[in-house]
Amino acid sequence: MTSADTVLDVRDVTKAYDGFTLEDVSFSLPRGYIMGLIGHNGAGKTTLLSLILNLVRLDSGEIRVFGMDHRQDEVAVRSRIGFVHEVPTFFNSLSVERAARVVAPFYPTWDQESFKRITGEFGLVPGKKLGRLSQGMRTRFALALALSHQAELLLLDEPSSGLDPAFRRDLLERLSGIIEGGRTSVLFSTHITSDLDRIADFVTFLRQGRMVFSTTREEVMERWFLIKGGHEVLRDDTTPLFAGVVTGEYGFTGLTENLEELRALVAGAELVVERATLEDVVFYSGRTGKEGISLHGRPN
Amino acid sequence: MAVRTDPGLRSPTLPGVTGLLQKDLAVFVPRDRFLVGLIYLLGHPTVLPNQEAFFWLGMALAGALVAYVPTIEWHQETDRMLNSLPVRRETVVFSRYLASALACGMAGMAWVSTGIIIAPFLDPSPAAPGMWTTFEGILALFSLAALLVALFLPLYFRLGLGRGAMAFIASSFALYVAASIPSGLVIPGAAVAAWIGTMTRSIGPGWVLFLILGGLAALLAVSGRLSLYWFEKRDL
Repeated sequence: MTSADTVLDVRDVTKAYDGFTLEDVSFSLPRGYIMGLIGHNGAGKTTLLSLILNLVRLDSGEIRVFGMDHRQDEVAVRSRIGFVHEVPTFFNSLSVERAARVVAPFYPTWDQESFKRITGEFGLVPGKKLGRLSQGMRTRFALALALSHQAELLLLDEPSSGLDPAFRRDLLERLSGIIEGGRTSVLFSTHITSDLDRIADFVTFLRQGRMVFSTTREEVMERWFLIKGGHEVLRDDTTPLFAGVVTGEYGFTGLTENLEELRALVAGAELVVERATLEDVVFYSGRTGKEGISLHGRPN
Repeated sequence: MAVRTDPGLRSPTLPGVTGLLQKDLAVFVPRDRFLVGLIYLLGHPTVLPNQEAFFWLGMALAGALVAYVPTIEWHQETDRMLNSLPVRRETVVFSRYLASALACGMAGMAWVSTGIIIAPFLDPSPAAPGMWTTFEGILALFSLAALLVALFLPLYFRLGLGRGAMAFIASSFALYVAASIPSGLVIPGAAVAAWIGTMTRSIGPGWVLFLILGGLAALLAVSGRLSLYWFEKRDL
């Protein structure tokens, strides 16, 4: 991948708060692709998106957007970014139409006709006050703003969480349509991993502030397995091969990317092996299980 | 890899400043404009017997106009949304100072206008509202308003409106005590206006204007740098 093709390049990014540190996160997103950012609540997804938008200040590391430093060139960078925050807020007293007129002057590429068309498609009434919109409708409004200035990078923080299933599906199809032109990229965080199964080209997984992996969705599907077996499989030499294990009365379910190594160690043991879904990866990774088996992450 | 905390001071951008001022105007809804005006006008019968109170009503109007949009933004938690727009924090800070100056200007015009209208109906003693329409009266109002803005905005940018307003009240009081107890200086408007009057007779109005405006400009410049320094470091 050449740098000209890279829309977003995050290198060794670290941000520390009291009680939480986002540590050494690195990944890049090529132009024209969708990347899903997954992880449990508190994993650092919103912090990472806030760092890219320069709302939160870096402790160390570097973020380049469109080849530019996200701080030095923040106006140029942000004018090409569309964003939706997890809880979209704007001035409640403004109508949909008035709010758009407030936002429009900040974007040289603002397209009022696009905004009218998109708000119509989203079922937003131009004269309705933002304060009277539901959470889902506010998200639609924020999306309409993000899509109306020809953004080349969309940063969406849990955009589908407040939406009804029909609109969520519509949104995903719309995002797929947007990247078809090859000009726009999308980075969106979600805990609804089925959304990513539909559209994501890349997946970045954060756990407790650390990046577990950042790779293509296909590679995740090929690399990670869900193993079910008896307790005798969980030995001192096999446990480190699991990224997460949940134990029960009759056996365990574990997540691993070391299938062959595991098989070699427990040759003859009865194992049920399934390809892990993204939801499995998120659910099992880092699980301590009912009996408290120690676990580990496997950052790239 | 370490990064610089301070990306260096840059100039605010004109589209950003005009966009933010338009936003302030849009947010100041007609209903609230009417209410602020009404409360200001209804306040006059109460404060007319007390000339200091008349002065402070003008200050309160300036304060209400300065704090109006920050209050709305704080209450509706629009910080993250606004600072995700293509504007630098320098522009946000500069626009807030400019909007505050315009707010003080509007409050001053309203205050002087009502003073001119009201004065003929009152006893023309030195303390009557008419005195506030004089050179020293107007300069006293703007000086104290600028002083309070210079104190308020850095705290607002450092702490946000909630804690910033509490810190402002506490520091204003501390400043008042620090200035009044050792020196015997009485801060309220009439005393400031009288002091400006004495200075004017001593060195002439041109020098007084030059010294006071120069002092306020320096104060606001320091205040602005402090606001920017703190706001630059703040996570939103």
